[in-house]
Amino acid sequence: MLFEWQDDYELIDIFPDAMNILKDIELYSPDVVLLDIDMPRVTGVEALKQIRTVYTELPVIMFTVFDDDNNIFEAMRNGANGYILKKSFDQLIPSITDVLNGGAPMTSVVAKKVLQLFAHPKAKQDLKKTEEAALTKREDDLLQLLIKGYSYKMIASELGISIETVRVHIKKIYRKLQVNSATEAVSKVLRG
Amino acid sequence: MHIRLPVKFFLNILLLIAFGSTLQAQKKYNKVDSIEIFRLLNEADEADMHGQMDLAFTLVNRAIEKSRQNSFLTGQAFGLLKLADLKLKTDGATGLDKYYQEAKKLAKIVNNNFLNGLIDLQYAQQKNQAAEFEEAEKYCQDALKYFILSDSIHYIAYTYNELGFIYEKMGKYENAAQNNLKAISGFEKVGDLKEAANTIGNLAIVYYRLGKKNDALEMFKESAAIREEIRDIKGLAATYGNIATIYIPIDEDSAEKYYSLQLHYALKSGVKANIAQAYANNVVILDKQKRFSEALEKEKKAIQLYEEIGDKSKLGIRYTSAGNLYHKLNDSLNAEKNFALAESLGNILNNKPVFQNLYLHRSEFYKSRKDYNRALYYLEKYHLYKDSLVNEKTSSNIAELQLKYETEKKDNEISQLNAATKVQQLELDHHQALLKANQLENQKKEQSILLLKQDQKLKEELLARQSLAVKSNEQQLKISEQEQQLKEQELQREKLIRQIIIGLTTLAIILSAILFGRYRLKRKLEEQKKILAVRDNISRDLHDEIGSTLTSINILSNISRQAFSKDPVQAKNLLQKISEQTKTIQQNMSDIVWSLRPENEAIENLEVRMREYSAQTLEANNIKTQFHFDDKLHKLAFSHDVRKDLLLIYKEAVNNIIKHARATQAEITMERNDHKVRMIIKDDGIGSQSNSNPLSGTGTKTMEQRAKDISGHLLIGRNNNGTTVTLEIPLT
Repeated sequence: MLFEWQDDYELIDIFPDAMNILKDIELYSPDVVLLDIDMPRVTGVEALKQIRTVYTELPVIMFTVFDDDNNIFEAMRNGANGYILKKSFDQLIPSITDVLNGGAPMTSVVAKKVLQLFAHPKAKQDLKKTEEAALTKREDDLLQLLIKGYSYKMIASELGISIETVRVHIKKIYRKLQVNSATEAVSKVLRG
Repeated sequence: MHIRLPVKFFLNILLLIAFGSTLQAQKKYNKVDSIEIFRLLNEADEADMHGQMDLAFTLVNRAIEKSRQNSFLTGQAFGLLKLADLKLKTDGATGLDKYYQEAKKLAKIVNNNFLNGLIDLQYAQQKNQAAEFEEAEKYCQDALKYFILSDSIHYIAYTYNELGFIYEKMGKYENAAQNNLKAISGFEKVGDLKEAANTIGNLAIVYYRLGKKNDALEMFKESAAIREEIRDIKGLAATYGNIATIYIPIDEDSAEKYYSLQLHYALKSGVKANIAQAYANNVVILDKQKRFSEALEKEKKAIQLYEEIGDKSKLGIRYTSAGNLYHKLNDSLNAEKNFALAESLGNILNNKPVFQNLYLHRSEFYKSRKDYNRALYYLEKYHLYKDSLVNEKTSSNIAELQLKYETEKKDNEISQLNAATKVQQLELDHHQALLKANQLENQKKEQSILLLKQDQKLKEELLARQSLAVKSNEQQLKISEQEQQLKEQELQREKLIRQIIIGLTTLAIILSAILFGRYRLKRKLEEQKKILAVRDNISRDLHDEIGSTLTSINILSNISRQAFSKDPVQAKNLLQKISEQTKTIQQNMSDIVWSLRPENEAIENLEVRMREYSAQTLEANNIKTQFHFDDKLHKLAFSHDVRKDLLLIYKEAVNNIIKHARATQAEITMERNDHKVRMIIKDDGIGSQSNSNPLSGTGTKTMEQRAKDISGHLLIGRNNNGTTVTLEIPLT
């Protein structure tokens, strides 16, 4: 209903589950996909993995109930472009635009999980091979502040950089997270 | 001294009339065998509804007479009930109990659920009118049960309406609104517009009590429109009176217009209470226009009518008002006389509103006569009663909360009962263990019997061998005899040892079974207790934080549904309110869930949550915020209660900065020493210059209550440099 009053976006279709997600995308070729996480039969994260096997660049935004950090983290490392919380429904349209332009925000819990993943010994081994996927000192500092609940603005003033720079760093961290998750998956395949 | 205004307001409030239902719907009487009697009763209802009281009396008396002649008990009971109803309306409540008792006796004989319910409901109405609210509530609940048994939706709706009326008088507005809404939907279901109009009017009163005058006016007018349509004369008188009452302080012309409508319909209906009410309303208008002698004339008429009906609490207020008018006309003798009359009535009724009203007027009276000593005396008394009234209201609110809490407790009791069955199960297990031990013992006994048998065989063999040996020599015989004896002794010893071992083992098994059972039982009970305590906490949180808002949303959505077609603008406003309250619930829910998660016990997570909240609020309002968190805090862990209340106090303090302080900077500090944790929230806003006085606001009160709940200490300091909120929690 919300989309009907918008000039910039057009709602193509709504599906009750993600059973045939790849066929549906092929049929409609959308510009953005909004995925709920908690769905019958196929979860949003599973559906996202399916999409990424074929469409590596199609923007996918997770649309979820309360701040469900575990699922958000899983979605982000599997290549989601961002997430929107259902409780900020009134912000839906600007949030879509935000995600498409600037990338996703990062909460304290997600930041903690990101850091854990990079600190994992196996990950460290793999990271040595792919130097560009390791965290820089700056990115590490930034994650530490995020874990303590600092906002972007607080981080900016603490580290003496602009908010825009903070955003760029976050984007880079997410990208590395995806690369890192991918290498982890690859190493799993090799081993299995 | 500006106390005059609130006095008038007080009088106005008392003039609003809520409607109990008048219980004369169709289909009440339906037995075929006594059509004639029920026809008479139906006609009596009709006459009553149109205000033709004399005719109604004649018809009812004829119906009772006919029922007696035919020994038709049901008809007789209905007739008595109707008679009591009519007498209550015309002559007041005295001497009616005998009709009810007789009707109840008959109803018990014929075992008619509907009749029983009707008697209880009507009796409840009378009790309500006599201000015996708890009694009235009790009889209503009885009636409700009977009507549910007899499946009469219409009368279930009547009963809900009455309950709403009772709760409104008890000051339980939330309960009142809920019951009113139930009644409205019931009446709409059976298509009874008249009663729906009544109940809408009652709901309007609840809204008026909550201070929403415009909403109340809208609802009254809706109710009046329905009444006009069905020509409900008595109802119209009361509704127009209510509208006039609300208009008096805000719009005199409208007030007068509606007052004349009220008097017109009251006179037309011929019901004394309606007419008296109309005169009383007129007094307020004339008093306001300083036409005191005209007002006094009307007042005398009202007093005479109330005396005829015997409505003492109304009389108390009228005497006070008359005293006040005499005082304004400089007739101090009559003024004092009327005040004295009001006081004696107040004493009979022990009615606090009557006293409060009276003492304020008396104080005014003596002040104008420069008798300051007595003026002060009565003013003090006025404040005494005012305070006790306020206290009574709060305590009734508390009682309501307790009631809700009781039901939750019952749920807990059910789970305790479940625990008890589990204990029984355990005991059963224990018995089975004992049984098994017994079986073991039996098996062992069997084995020992087998052994015995083997012994015997052995003996027999020996005997056979002996008989063979007889042929050899006696010496051999002797030796073999000796051997045999020895062997027997040995066998007996072995048997004894075996039995001792078996006995000891059995004892050990039984003992360990009992002890283990005990131990498991104790552990189970302890766990159960812990779980119950946690559940208790959660249910209280849910009730306090979520339940009340949900009720409000429920009421709002019901009203907006009704307003939707009639007044889209209002409906839109209501929907906006619903959306705001839903957001609040989301917030509260998220806080409760957060505080329940075990990983949030660590204080670092509280720190994170505080920072994130300030980013969403202070930062979003361009207030520069600094945090100081003591490293010594990091070893601490707080319980669910403490972290929830700490977080909510923090949020309230932050919200106050945004709403009231007009600050540009804020500083948030958490520190600890050996004995306590201290949280300081400081801003550089306007502090003491803030013209709204949040010190007495509910927000601050809630903060203080929360601090007390976790045995903390809250201090709010204001000066020209801003506000500082300090919370200290002792470490135990």
